[in-house]
Parts: sequence; C-alpha cells; structure tokens
Amino acid sequence: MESEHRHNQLSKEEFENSSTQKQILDISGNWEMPESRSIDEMHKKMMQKIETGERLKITTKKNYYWQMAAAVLAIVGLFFLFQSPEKTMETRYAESIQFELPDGSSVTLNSKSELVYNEKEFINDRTLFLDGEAFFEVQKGSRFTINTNMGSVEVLGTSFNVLSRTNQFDVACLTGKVKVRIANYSEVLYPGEKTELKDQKLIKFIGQNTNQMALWRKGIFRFDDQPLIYIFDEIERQYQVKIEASGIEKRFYTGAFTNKDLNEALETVCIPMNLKYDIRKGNKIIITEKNN
Amino acid sequence: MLEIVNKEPEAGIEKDVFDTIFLENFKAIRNFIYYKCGDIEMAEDIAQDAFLKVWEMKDKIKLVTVKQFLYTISNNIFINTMKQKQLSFKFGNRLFNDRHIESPEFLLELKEFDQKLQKAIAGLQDKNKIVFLMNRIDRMTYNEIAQNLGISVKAVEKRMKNALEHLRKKIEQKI
Repeated sequence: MESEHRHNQLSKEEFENSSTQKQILDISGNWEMPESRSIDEMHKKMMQKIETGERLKITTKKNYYWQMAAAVLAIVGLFFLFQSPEKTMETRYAESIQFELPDGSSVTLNSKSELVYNEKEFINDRTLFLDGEAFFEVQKGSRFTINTNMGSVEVLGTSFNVLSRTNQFDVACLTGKVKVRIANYSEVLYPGEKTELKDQKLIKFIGQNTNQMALWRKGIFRFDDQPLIYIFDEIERQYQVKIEASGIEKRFYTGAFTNKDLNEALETVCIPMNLKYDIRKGNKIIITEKNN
Repeated sequence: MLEIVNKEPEAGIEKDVFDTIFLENFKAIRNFIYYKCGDIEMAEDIAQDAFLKVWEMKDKIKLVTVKQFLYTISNNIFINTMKQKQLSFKFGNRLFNDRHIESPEFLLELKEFDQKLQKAIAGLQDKNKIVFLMNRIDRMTYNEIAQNLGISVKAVEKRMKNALEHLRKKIEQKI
C-alpha cells in the first residue's frame, strides 16, 4: 500500500477505471504544500534568534487562542535526570495545590492528601502512591498507575478523579479511559462513569455528567447520597475545624457545600437534614438534631 | 583483567550538528503542524519554536532521539498555544500543471475530486490524518512514520487503513 505513483501521464480512462481507494492515493500523492518561506530563509531567522540570545516565548498572536483544556507543555522533563528518589507532595487542611509530574501530567491535590513518586524513574515507570483525593490529567504514553491503600487505578492518557480515604475509594472518569482495581475486582471506566466503594463492593455509575465531577477544584464539594460522616470529614479538611455529631453520621446526604464560607457551608448541609450547628471557639462545631 | 564498560551515546549537540538537524527536519516538522492546523504561517512559527527549544536544551538532548523529540515538542507547543479552529487545507496539486491531461473536462473532473478529497481530509481524526499525510506528502515509509511518532508499525498501518476507509466513504457518498 506504500505506492508512490507519479502520474505525469494520467489518462482519463485509467483514472475512471480505478477503485476509489486508488484514485485517493493517486490524487493525494500529487499534493504539494501551499506557499511558504524557504528553509534557508527560516534557517537565517533561526540563526538570528540564536545570536540575539532570544529565548523561547510561547507567543499569543491575535489568531491564536488559549485552549481551556490544559494539556501542559512539559516534555522537557524527559531529558532531565533528577537526583532525588522519592518525592512527596502533601497538602494540609484547607489547602489545594496543582503541579506537574516529570512526564507532563498534571495533578491537583485536594486538602489533607499526599502523593508520593520516584522523581528520577517516573518517566520510565509512571507509578505513584496516593492517599487522599486528587484530580489527574495524564499525558498519553506508557501505563500510568496510581496505587492507594484501598485499590489502584491504571490509565494511558486521560483525566479523572481519585478519592482514597479510610473506607472510601471513588474514581470518576472525565476523559479517556481508566482501569480501577480493588482486590479481585477490576473495572474499566469511560467518560461519565465512576465507581464507588460501598459495603465492600465496587459499584459503577454510568451516564454521569462530567461537568459535575471533581468540582472540588472549583471550591464546590458535591455529594451524591453519601453518609453524612464523609461530608463532615470534608468540611473538617477544608476549614480546619473539628465536628462533633455523634448519632447522625449515618444519615445520607445529597447536595454540595462551598469552601469559601463556613457558615454557608454548614447551612447547606444542616438545613436540608433538619440539623442545627453551634460553632464554639471558632473551630469546634457541635451538630445536633433540630427540635421541632 | 577485562573491564567491560557500557557506553551510552552521550548527550549534547554541537552547533554545526544543530544546523544539519534544522536543515534536514524543518520541512517535515512544519508540515506536521500544518496537517494539524491548516495555517502555514502558524506552522512555520511553531516549527521554529520547536527548534529553538532544541537549541536551548542542546546540552541535554541525545542525537538519536532528537527527531522524535521535535515531533513531540512541536505537538505540545501546538496544543498549548492555539484553539482548534475550522480546518481546511490548501494543498496544491502537481497534476494541474500537467500539460498531458487530455481534456478540459477531465481536468475539471480531477479538480472536483481533488477538492472533495481535501475537504474530506480535514474531517479525518487527527491521528489518522497525520499518518496519511506523512505518507502521501512527506513520502515517509511506515517505518519512518512509526519511529517519528513513537508508535508501532502496526499502529501506522491501522491509522492508514482507517483514513483510507473514511475517505473512500466520504468520496463515494456524494456520487
């Protein structure tokens, strides 16, 4: 199929009797690039830039637009040899950070989370350990593995959210393809699908709105039918407070809270659940049922 | 005692080597970006930026992998600096300068086919389109394409097959 026909003598009959595929190969084999500057001219320009010590700028010309999806320029990492072995990225209470891995993949870490990886070996072996919650945008390439205490996630090139905390292991796929592994189960997720660990079982949800996934990056913490204890845990992480709410943690909540205002956050959770809250000393919160 | 030393190719590119790299590869990289964006000036600029990056990192790059690096980095620059815009190609066609084409009607027939085909190409999936054009215009073998893009020859064959299939369907549907 690697034909290199040059048709200087293209006869009408030959062309019309050829298969469509052959016609396609013939015509396209005669294509030329549109008018452009010569290589010598470009070479001269290049030499000028080098001589004036001009460094690479990513210029925004009026015809260019910034793409919203962030595919980060970082292939540079391929050619650097890092000396340090294990690198740990950690977040504290009420903290969220975004950074790049040596392969150009982007990670956003939610509060009280930890990511550990081998900086030097990462390009060859894209494996890391996560405890907590992170959103990944993985550059296409070799297999990318995230190990957690609760299970593991494997991808090739994609964007997805992983939450691994005590008794919780939730993975949501926004783009690409993700393989989730836990004990003997494994499941492949496509965009709009997510898995949750519930009662020792891996449950898969399909047809989810990807715009509703990983909203925590925007300061919105959404929960779909989750035990209140998880919501309270997240409020504790986001505001660095301590919540006491014995007896009601097992009730289920669907809704969202913001990480911008503690009172507003507590109200969005408590009001629908008919609870009331009491903030003591600025960082201790007692939540009880409302008496009618 | 026999000492066995493993020698890896050393990193680093000299200025005159860089010149050769530029002259030998600029066209292919420019074309590669053109296939992605259909804007020849943008393609020239991005290709140049890619080589500038190679120059900046000349001490750290190995000659063996510089080609693949050029493809990857120009692709990254492309992704990072532009938004997908309406894609349309403006390839010239050697056939139309051919005085041997029998009749004006046949010439018209070829021109119509050519136009249909260029439009259909713009609608191909990026990965299939790139492989197709690298084969047809840059005249690269499947092996060369596989090496430059860092994929297997089988993958190249598959993408070529997909491109031809899609193009065939598009061409035949208007008839």
